[in-house]
Amino acid sequence: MDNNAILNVAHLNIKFGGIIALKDINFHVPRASITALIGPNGAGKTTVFNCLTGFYKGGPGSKLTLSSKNKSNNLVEMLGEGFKLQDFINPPAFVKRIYFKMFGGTHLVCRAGLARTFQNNRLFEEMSVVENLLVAQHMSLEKSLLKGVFQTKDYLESQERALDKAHDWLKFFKLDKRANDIAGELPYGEQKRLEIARAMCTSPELLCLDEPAAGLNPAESAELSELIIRLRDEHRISVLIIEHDMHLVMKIADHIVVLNYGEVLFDGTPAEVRNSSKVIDAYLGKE
Amino acid sequence: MNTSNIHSHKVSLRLAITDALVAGLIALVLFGPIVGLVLDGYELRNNMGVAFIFVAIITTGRFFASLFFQSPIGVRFLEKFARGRKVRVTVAQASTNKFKKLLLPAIFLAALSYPVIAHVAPDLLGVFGGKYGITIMILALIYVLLGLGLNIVVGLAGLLDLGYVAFYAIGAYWLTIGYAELGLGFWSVLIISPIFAAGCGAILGFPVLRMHGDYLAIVTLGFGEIIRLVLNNWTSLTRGPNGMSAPDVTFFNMLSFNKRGADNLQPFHEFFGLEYSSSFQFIYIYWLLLIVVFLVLYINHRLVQMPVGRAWEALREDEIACRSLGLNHVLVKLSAFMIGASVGGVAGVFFASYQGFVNPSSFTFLESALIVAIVVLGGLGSALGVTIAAIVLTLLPELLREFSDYRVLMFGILMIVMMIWRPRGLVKPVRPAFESDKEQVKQKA
Amino acid sequence: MDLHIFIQQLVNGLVLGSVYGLIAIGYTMVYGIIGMINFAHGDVYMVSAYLSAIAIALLSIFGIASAPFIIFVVLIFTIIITSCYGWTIERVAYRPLRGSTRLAPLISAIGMSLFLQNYVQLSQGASTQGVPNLIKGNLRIGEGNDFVQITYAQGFIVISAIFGMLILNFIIQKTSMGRQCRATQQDRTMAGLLGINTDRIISTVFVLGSAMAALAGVLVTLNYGTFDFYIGFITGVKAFTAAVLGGIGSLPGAILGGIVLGMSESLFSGFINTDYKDVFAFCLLVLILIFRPSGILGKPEVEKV
Repeated sequence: MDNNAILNVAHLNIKFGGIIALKDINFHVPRASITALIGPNGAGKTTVFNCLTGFYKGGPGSKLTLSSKNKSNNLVEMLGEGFKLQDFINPPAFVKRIYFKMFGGTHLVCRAGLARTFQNNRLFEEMSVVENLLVAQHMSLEKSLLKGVFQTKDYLESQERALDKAHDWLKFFKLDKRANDIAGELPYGEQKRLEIARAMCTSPELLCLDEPAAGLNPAESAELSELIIRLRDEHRISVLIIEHDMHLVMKIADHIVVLNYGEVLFDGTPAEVRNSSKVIDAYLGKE
Repeated sequence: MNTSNIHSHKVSLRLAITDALVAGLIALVLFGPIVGLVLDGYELRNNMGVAFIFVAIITTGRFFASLFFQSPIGVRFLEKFARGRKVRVTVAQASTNKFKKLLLPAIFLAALSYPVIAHVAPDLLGVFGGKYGITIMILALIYVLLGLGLNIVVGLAGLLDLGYVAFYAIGAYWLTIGYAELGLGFWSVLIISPIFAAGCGAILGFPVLRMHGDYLAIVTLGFGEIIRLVLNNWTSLTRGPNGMSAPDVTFFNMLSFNKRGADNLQPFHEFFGLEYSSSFQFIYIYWLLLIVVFLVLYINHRLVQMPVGRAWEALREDEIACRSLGLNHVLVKLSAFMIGASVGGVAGVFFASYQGFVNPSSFTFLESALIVAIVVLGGLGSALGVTIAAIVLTLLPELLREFSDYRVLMFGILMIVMMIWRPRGLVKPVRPAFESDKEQVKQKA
Repeated sequence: MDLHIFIQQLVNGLVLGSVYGLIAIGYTMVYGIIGMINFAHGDVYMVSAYLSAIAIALLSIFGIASAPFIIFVVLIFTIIITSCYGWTIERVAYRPLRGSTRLAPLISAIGMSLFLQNYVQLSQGASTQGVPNLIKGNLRIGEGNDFVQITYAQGFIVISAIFGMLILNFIIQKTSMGRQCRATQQDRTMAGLLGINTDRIISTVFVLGSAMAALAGVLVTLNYGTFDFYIGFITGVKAFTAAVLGGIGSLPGAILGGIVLGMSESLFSGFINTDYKDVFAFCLLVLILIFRPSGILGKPEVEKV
C-alpha cells in the first residue's frame, strides 16, 4: 500500500450474474496527479468507476481505500455490506454495520471526498446552472427548516457563501455568463464543463471523470485538458480520468492504468505505455 | 394511423372512413355488452340505445378527427401539440410588477371576508351563501391543504404516493382518539398533529423509500389500505365502521360555540353579544383553516428555494446524479414524505372537527386518487396550480349537481388527458434567479 | 390444529392462488416489457366478471341450458371482449405517453382505472351482481365432521387455470409472436432495429394479459357467483403482490407467487383472523419489496448508471 496515494484499489472484483466483469484489479492513484484509465471498449473501465464511486458493490475481498479529509475511508464498508460472522461477537462492528446498512450508500463516498461525472451527462436539466451547483453544495448549506422559513442570518450567510463558491467555479470553467440559464439548454460542451464544475462544488479531493472529452471538438478538448491540468496544479486535485482520446491522455496524464478483459494489463507512465508491446497488442490485435 | 399521411397533405376520404369504421367496431365491442346489456338479477335489461349513441359519437368523431388531422391545419395542430408537450422551463425575471404584489393580499382579504358576507347576506352568493356555503368552502380549503401536502411528495420530490389518505386518516383519528382516550381537546391535538403525522410518515416511509417509482406507488397504496382496514377492524379503539365523534371546536379554549356553552366555557355568542347562529363555529373553522392554508403556502414558497426543496426537485430529475453529489436520497425523500404527511395530518384534524365525526369510509383509495388528480391538474409542482385545482375540483361538483355521479369518471378522463396533453400542468414551470455580488451575474439578473 | 381444516384451507388457497396467478401474469408481462405497473389491470379483471355474467344471462334468454356449452361460449365471449379492453387501455393510456416522464403513464393508468370503475358502476349499477350456480356438486374426502370438501367448480378453476397457462406458455415459447415478445422484453430498442414492430408487441402483451385476467374473471364468477364494480382494486393489488412474490417479469414466478399467496392468505384467514386477511396480503407485499424485491424466481436488477 502506497501511503502517498489518495486512492488504493486492491483485489477489486465484481460479477454480474455469471459473468466476471472485473477480476482482481490493483492500482493506486497518487495525490495531486492525473491518472488515466484506458483500455479497449468493454474492458471494464466504467465498471471500475462505478465500484469506486459506490454505485456497484465490489465482490468479496475488494478493498478500496480513499485517504482524504485527513483520514482513511473504507469505500466498500460505506455501502452497507452484508453481515459477517465475526460481527456477531463484536458489538461495535455490528452497530457500525447496521448504521451503514440503514444510512450508508453512494452518497457517503462523495462526502468522503470523491466526486465523479458521468459518461452521458446527468445534469438537472430543468434547473438553472447555479441551482445545479447549489444542489452539489447541499451538505455545506444551512438545512434547518425553521431557519430557512424565517430566513435567519446564518441561513442567508450560508446561501451567500454557496453562491460565491458556485460563481468561483463557474468562472473557472468559463460558464459565468450562463449562471441563470437552464442547464438543459446549454450547448453540449458547456454541459460537459458544467458537470465537472458541479462535481467540484462538492469539495472533492479526488475527481473521477468518465470520458469528459467525448463529443467535444478539438478546440474544446484542448481547453478542457488545460482546465484539468489547472485543477491539479492550482487546486491540488487528484484526477482519475477515463478517456478514449489518446492525444489528450498522453498530454495530460502523469500515470496510466491500462485495463483489458477486466484485468490490469499495464500500469506506468505515458512513455512506458506507448512503448509497451502488451498494450499495443491489446489495442491493435496480435499479428 | 394518420401519421403516415402527415407529410403528403392529401386528404383521403377512404382512410377517414376506414379509421371511423374500425373505431366504431371497437366501440361497439366495448360498449355493446357493458353499456347495452344491463344486469338485473339473473336477467338482462336492454339499454342498447345508449350504447349505439356512444358508438355513433365515436364513429363520427373519429371520422372528422381523421379528416381534420389529414388537412394542413390538422397537421400544423399536431405539430403544435407535440411542441406544447415539451416543457420549456424559464428562469424568473426579477419582477417589479406592483399589480402582482398587491394580488396576494387582495385574495387573502377577499377570502377572509367571504364567510361574513355568506353569513350576513347569504342570497348574494347563491349556492355558496349561508352555513352550507361555508361548509363547502371549508371542504375546498381542506382539499387545498391536502393538495399542497401531496404536491410536495408527488410534484416536487417525484414520489407517487397513492396512500396519502393514510395521513389524512391519521390526523382525523388522532383527534377523535386523542379526545376519547387521552382527553385532549381540539387545540392540543391541532398543535401536535403535524409532528405526530410526520412521525407516522417517517415510520411508514423509511423502509420503503429506497424503492423506485412504480413499486413505491403500489406500496403506498398498500399502506393507505392497511390503515383503513385497521381503522375498520380495530373496533375496541376506533369503533370500526360506526365511527367516532370529534371534540367541539372552542374559541381558543376560552369560549364555546354551543348554544348553552359547554365544559364551563361561556357561549361565544353571549360573550360577544351576538344572536346565536350555528354558522359561527364554521366561520371560525374557516378562518383558522384559511390562516393555515396561507401559512402552508408561505412555507411551501420558501421550501422550494431552500436546500431541501432544491434537493427534492433534483432528486425528481436525476436520482443517480444526486447520490453522486453526496445527497442521501433516502433521507431527502423521507423529508418530503414527512412534510407532506404533516400537512395531511393537519388537514385530517380539520376534517374531523368540521364533520364532528369520522369513520373509515371517508378514507378510501378514491380519496387518495382525488388528491392525486388535484396535484396532476395543478401541474405537479406548482403550488398556485394545485390551489386553484383543489378549489375548482371541489366547487365544480357543487355547481353541477346533476353531474355529481360522473365526478370520478371525469377525474379519470382528466388524469389521462392531462398526462397526454400537458404532463407538467397548465402552469409553466419557472426557476428562481439567483443574484450574487459577482458582477457578471448582477448584470444578467 | 385440525388436519382436515388445514387441508381444506390449502385447497381453498390453491383455488384462490390460481386466480391470483392468472391475473398476476398480466402484471408480470406488462412490467417485463415496458417496466411499468398496469394499474388498470385489476379493473380489466372486474370488467371480465361483468362480461361473463352478461354472457350467461344472454345465453339463458336463448334458452340454452347445457352447462358445458354455456361455459365454453362464455369463455370465448369474455376473453375476446376483455382483450379488446386491454388493447384499448394500451392505446389510450400508454401509447401516447411513450417517451414521456416516468410518472406520466402511472398517473394515466390510475386515471384509466378510476374511469373503468366508474364506467361500470354507472352503466351496470353499484349493487352486487350474481350468476346462477352452473357447476354443481362436490367431492368429499373423509368421514363424519372431519372431511375435506372440493367442489367441482373449484376443480374446474384449477384445471382451467393450468390449461390457460399452458396455452400461454406455448404462445410465448413456441410461436414467432412469442419469440418477438421475448426479444422485445430483453431489449426494446434492439428488437425495434431488427424489424420487430414493438408497438404491436406491446399491444399483444396487453391483450394476452387481459385474456388471462378474463379467464380469471370467468372462473371466479362461476365459483363464487357474486361480484361488484370494486373487486378489481383489492384483487388487483393482491395479484400484483403475487407477481412480485414470484419475481416480477417471470411467468412461472407469477403462477408460483399466486399459489403461495393464495395458500398463505387462506391459512391466515382460517387459523388467525379473517378480518385482517387483506392487511396480511398488503404487509406481505411491503415485506417482500423491502427484503427481496426480486422475488422467488426473479433476477436482481442491476442499476444502470
